[in-house]
Amino acid sequence: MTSRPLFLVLGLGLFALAVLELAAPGVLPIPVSEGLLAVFGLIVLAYAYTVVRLRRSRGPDPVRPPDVELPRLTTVPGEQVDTVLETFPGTDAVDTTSLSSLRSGLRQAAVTVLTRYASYSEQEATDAVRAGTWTSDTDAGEFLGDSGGSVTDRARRERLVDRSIDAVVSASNLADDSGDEPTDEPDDVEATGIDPDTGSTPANRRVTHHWLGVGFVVLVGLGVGTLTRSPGVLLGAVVGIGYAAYARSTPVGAVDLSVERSVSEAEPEPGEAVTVTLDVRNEGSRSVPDLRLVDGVPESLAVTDGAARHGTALRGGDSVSLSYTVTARRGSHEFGPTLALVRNRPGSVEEELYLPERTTITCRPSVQPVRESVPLRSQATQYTGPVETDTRGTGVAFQSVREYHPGDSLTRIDWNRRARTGELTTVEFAEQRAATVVILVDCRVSAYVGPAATAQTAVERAVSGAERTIARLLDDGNQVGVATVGAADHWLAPGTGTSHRHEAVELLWRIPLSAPDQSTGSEPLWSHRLGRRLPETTQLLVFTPLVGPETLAQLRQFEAHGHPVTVVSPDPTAGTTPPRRLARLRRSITTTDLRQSGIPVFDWERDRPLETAFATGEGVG
Amino acid sequence: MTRIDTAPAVTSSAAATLLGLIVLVAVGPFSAIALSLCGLGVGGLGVGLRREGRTAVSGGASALFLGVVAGAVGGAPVLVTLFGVVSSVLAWETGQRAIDIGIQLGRGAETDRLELRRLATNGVVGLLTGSGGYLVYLLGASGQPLSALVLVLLAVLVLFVTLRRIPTPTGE
Repeated sequence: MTSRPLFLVLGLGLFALAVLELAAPGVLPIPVSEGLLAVFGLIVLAYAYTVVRLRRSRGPDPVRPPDVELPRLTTVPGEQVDTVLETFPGTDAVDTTSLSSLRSGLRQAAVTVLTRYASYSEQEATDAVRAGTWTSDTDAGEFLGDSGGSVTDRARRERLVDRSIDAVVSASNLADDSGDEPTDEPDDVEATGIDPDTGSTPANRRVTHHWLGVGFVVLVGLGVGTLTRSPGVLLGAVVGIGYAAYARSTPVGAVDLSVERSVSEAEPEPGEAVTVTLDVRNEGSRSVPDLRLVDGVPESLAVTDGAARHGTALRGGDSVSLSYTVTARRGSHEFGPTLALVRNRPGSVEEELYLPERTTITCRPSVQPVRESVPLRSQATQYTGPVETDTRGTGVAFQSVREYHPGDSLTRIDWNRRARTGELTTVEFAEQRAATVVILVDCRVSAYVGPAATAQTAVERAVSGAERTIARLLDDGNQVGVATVGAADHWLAPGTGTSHRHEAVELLWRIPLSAPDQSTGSEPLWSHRLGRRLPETTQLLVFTPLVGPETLAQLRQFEAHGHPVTVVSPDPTAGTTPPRRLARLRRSITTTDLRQSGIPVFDWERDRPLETAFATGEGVG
Repeated sequence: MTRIDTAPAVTSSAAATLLGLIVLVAVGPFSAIALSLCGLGVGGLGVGLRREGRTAVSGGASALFLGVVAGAVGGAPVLVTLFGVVSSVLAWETGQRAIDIGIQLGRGAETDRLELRRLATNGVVGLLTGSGGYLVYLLGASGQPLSALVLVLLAVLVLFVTLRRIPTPTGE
């Protein structure tokens, strides 16, 4: 850079000499010849080549704003083969870079499936896997068997792993939907919103390299112009110099922009379309020649209509307005600042500004009690309620018929039988009692998963399901408590009444709907803590996707300690890729194991109402 | 629930391709090489602007410019050559901006005002420098000694190198 003045002086000096030569030709002793001009032209053309190379290596790479149009993306269980394999019983840490480690993990999964679903004994299953006779897919059988040699080709190895996974899945005879349509999922998404706390200072300015490469025109013009003596081409070089100077002419001036945002409905119901209107005004007197706006749509909301971006030129005092539609979903959604990318007139410098404007959409659905009766285990209190007992008493469900005793109520005499046979008999009903239920919502990090990138997470579904279940259980006269495990660690002791209901709903509202960055340190201890809190003869209704570690053992423990457990499981799995199918299989195994321990599991499939799970769900399989 | 379409902005893409076609028509008739280079250039622009092809756009615009140079060597008048150079620089710049706007704002966003303003401003810059150069050419084109020409060329080159060493002012 220090050589710049030197170059300037040299250039101006040469120019002065040229003027002198024009005024008095032949004064200066310059060895001019056609050959010299040709050499000059060729040197300049060689220089032009370096400009092209520079452009290729350092060309423009514009700032890529976050994907504000997308909602927060949900993780689908089974992103990594190793993490799924590690959850299979009897499997140690799996290292995907090591073929033997991967292979032994897959073998263990195959053994698990064969012993569970194909009535093999442990030894038979191990032998069958070693011999490769357990599957009709001979390649997969060979790959996992003793005869499977080393596979060095990466692509072939991946294919064989996928084949083996599918062989294991089909050996279970469980999921015949292995060919789920692959969904179009956005990848490489870094952020789906702008952090509301992003500040506007310090201004972030950068050179865009937009005009880098215009020197090619100058140098080719000079070179070819010299070689061919074409005045038009030489003048073309002047045009190039004009643009090169223009690119360095004006910096980004001080910009003063203000922003105002309004929403058509600040408290919408889920699924409701909310129109967002953004007004950006140039408060300064100077014109902003190149303004690109990206609004800070909340990271959790999706833009469903219109564009949250705009590009314009804005004179001093002028304003621009844009509007778009987002679809509301449960939760409190805070808008981030509007991102303004301001360029100078030639477009060679870009400034990144964050224009703060706080706006929040709160979407809090009104609670509709579940329309089906909630399947509870038979453990009852002394209060009347929905749980049918084995005891005879007052109720609605028929229990037995006995001989009439004087004093029995007339309404309970079986008059049909009296008319038919002349006997006088009394109908007995099953006595109904209320239950004490604690609703447990699994919001551990592992539960923030769903069947597609744009689907609801299991936690979101669990929260809304729990809310509706609590309303129904309270309506039916039960004592209901709420507990959470994971991201939030809340506890509400069982109770009844309007204010209790309100407290329960408030508690569920406080559960975060986006996964916390790290699992809380106390996560493994949750079952002990809950065990101490649970009153005796309380049953647990657990909302869990059944993908978390240790879930099976912990639920069995509660069951063993006299707290009957019922599981409602929002299904977060998808069958779109082999690792995902493996994760789905893993969850099915947990479900089977739970049911075999006598714990009813209601599988709540995606896109189905909770009622369907309660009505058609085979509690015990 | 989908990402924005980051394909190059429509108006700028159309303008860049149109500029390429104009150059093709203007200098094509003067030489076969000019015609084929310009054809290549328009093709490069068209392909590059369909999908974020920055290299194809730069390559296409370079071919367009080289076509103009070939046309000038083949006998195109100075004014036509100047017009061709300005148009090919504009086609290059507009194509690059179409890609930038596509990446940052996407096709769904309203960007016409931005695109047209920029194109107009850059067109005026080309018009001014081009006509300035032409004026100089008219005033003192003929009968100058070769030595003076060499000195002018050297001076222009050294000044251009100086210009390249000036960092773009960011105003910070």
